[in-house]
Amino acid sequence: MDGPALALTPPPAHRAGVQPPAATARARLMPAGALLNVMAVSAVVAVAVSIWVLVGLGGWSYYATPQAVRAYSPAHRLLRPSGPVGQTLGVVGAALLLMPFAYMATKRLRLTKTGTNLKRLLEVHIFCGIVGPVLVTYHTAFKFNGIVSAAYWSMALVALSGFAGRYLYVRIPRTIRGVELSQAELDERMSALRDELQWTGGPEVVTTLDRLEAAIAARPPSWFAVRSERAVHRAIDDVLSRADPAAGRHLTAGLRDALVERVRLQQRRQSLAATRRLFDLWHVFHLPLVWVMVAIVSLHVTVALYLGYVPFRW
Amino acid sequence: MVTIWRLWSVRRLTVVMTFAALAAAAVAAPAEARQLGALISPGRLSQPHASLEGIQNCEKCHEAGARVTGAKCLSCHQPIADRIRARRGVHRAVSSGDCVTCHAEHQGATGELRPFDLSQFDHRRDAGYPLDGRHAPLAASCASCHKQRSYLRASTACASCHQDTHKGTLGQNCQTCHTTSTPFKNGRQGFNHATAAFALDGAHATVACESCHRNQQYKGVAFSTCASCHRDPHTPKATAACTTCHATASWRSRRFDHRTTAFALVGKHETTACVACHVKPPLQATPRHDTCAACHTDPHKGAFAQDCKACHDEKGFAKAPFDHTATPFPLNGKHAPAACTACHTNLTRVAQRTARPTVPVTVDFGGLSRACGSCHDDVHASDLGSSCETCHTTERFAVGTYVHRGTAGFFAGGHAQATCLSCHARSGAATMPVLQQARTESAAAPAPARATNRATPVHGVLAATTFTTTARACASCHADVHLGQLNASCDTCHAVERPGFAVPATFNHATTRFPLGGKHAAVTCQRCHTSQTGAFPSGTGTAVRFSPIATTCVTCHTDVHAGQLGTACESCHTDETFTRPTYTHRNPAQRRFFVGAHTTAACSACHTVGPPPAAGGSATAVRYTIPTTCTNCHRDVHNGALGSACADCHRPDRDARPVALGHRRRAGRNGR
Repeated sequence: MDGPALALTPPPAHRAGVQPPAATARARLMPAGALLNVMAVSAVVAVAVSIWVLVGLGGWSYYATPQAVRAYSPAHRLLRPSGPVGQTLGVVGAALLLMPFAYMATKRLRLTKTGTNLKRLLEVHIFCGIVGPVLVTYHTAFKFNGIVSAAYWSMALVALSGFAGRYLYVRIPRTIRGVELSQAELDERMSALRDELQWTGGPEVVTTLDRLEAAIAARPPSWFAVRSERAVHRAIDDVLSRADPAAGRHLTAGLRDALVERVRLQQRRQSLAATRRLFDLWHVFHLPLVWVMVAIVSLHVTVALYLGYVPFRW
Repeated sequence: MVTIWRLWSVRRLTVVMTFAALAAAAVAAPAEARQLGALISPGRLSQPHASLEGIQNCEKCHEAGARVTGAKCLSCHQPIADRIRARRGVHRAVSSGDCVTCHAEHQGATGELRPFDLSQFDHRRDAGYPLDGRHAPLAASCASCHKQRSYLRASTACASCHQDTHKGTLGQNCQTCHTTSTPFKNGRQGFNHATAAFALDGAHATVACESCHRNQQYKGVAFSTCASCHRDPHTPKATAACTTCHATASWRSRRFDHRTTAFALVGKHETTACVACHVKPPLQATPRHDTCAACHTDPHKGAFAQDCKACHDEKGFAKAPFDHTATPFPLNGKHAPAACTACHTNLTRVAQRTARPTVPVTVDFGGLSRACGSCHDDVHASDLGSSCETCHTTERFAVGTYVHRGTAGFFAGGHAQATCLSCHARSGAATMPVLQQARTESAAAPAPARATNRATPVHGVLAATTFTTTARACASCHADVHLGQLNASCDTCHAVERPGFAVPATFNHATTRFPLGGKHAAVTCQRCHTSQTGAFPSGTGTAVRFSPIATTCVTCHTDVHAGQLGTACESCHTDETFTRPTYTHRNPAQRRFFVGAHTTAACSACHTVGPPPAAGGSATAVRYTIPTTCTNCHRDVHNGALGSACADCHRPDRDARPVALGHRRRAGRNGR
């Protein structure tokens, strides 16, 4: 969605002085609630798969059966790890878990310059990172033996850490395609927003902006107090009603969006350095577990294939 | 962290952490995965396959590229392979050799390798050995017979489960004697001893096996002579073969013919055990047998001098044919069927002797009294002495016809018909109906064991009687129905000969102060002597009144004259007839009146019926005291015109026409 069009007629107080900035379309940034949709879709798919396995295939009673006699449960033929369903779940789950490497490869190989949509890849990354472990969980039949169980728990930690990574990810200003803004790009963006507010909204709106940013600056940076757009809107309303009732008349819908973006960028820029540092550390946790998982699963798959447990050949 | 962050780049840290995590994963693998094979194993093997754990053993079951093949399994499980080929047992229908279809591994050390549905298992069909009879309950507990893990290692030999109590002496073919359908101890039922060298017959057939086969020894048991098993009880030792006297049916079954001796056995002697006479030493050559007392003790304690055979024979001591007529007390009548113990009460009953031989037998017949009272209770309480036979007989205890000797006159008439209790009862409790009822009840009651001391209802009735203190005075039995009116003795009027004590019709009333004459002589007594209730000399009550009775006529007769004529009825009436007498008015004062027509007039013409002048009330009677005035009878036709002096004109002895019809009369009279 493109940004709001600039007002054609600036307030009279500004006409004689400063020239207004050129009317350019403001590039859209990644919103704070990004990637939540794909997480919801992933949850729905995971729940659907679970219902199919647990209810449709009798997995609920099968997994509850003691392991010593589980082999003689009616569902064992399908749901055992080497069974038609169990092994397929493992294979599909493993395939899904390979998909995130596309995102990593794109990022590492600097393929973004080729126009690759990093955000789309990240959405695939998140979907596979949620649904894949669920499928693999049913593939294990809740039997965690040997070193392959280390792969499973690594996968589980990787998947869980992904939720923390997504939180840090959206705190770093990015374009709508997922490309991180540099400091200069961020400064330029914020300056452009201020200009837009000043020339379009007038001094009352700028005053409001200053009050809001002063309030943000007065607070220590908070890592976890994520300010949603709705919270920012409530803060704007609060300031307008208490200090600048007149500014509200000049605050069009477009200007309000710009005001919100500017405030949120201000918030992120305040803790941006720390966020980036933490995000790097997150990778130090996330990636080694991925490689552990890959290594052990490779061994697991190799042994299985060697012993004849070839997919789709039961 | 910050320091590390400054010293290391993210990439370098990531690489380091990756290797650290890999190492940690290997180390932090489950504790049981210490072996390399366990690291890639999907789970521990079951206990029977525990020796196959380890990476070097994977391919003992798994075949590269072919998963787990039946051939690998059967290369170890050869007996199963044989049975599959032979199509025997549980695996008889297995053809693919895909063992893992039924037997799952890597399910943990406790994993079940052999799922077994007992409800579908038929031991005869699937194992080739039926579990029937007493084996059937074992079908639910396999481990009872299958002591080892392999079911195939259980043997069908009996000795594989059962202990051979015969210690191998009877071989391994247990089925010769035992079956699964009977308990082991009944094994002898399946064994035919006739197939052995010593066939069992007689008492031998019922002897427990252990009696001869001691210590479970079934082979080599000596049986050539009886002494092999039996001890010789004879002292001195018997020289003849045992079978000379004994048979196998019983030790008591004898083959010895006692008739060949001087004392042939008959009756009870025949069934008596040898040792009863041949007491220790058993083979005493010749027991004394000249008298019974040689063997039998005299329970009569010498009371009978005669020989035992006089009463007893060999058929049994009880019910000896004893003739009581030879005794001073012959039994006849009711005594004849009485049991001996009814009188000889100190005898021990034969039945007791039979049932409990330890009860001392007493057969003392002496010392018994012949007096009736020794057996019978004297219900008369010694009133009549001890000579019961005076009234009673042995035929019938109830007294039938007793004759009161010396009192013939008294026991005539009604007394002859009276029952004994009519006179001999002490109280109303002893009456004949009561006695009859008591007799009925006594007859219905069960007979007592003994004749004596019977407290029967009859005894109760008789206890209220007396036969010695009865007075002959009438009043001792009869109540005075006259309540003391008659001072004379009863026999003045009554006689026992008359039924119902009726007074004879010939009572001479002339002896009374009111002799009966005329019509009175024919009147029944009751017409005058009526039953009255009131005071009598002996008290108030109801009785026929005899005295005092007034002799006046009105005592019995009603005065129809309503008192007009006084009480001297005899002035006109007699006891010959009560009809009206021929009366002549003889009163001189009335002489002039009864003339002429008055003399022929009927009595009733003047003596009309009506209220007598002297009587009050409404009584009516023939009026006899009537005035002689004319108007009393005649109507005044002159209607009072001539006054009341009728006689002035009329006279009864003249014509009815008055004289005055012509004054001539007056003139004439005047002229006269």
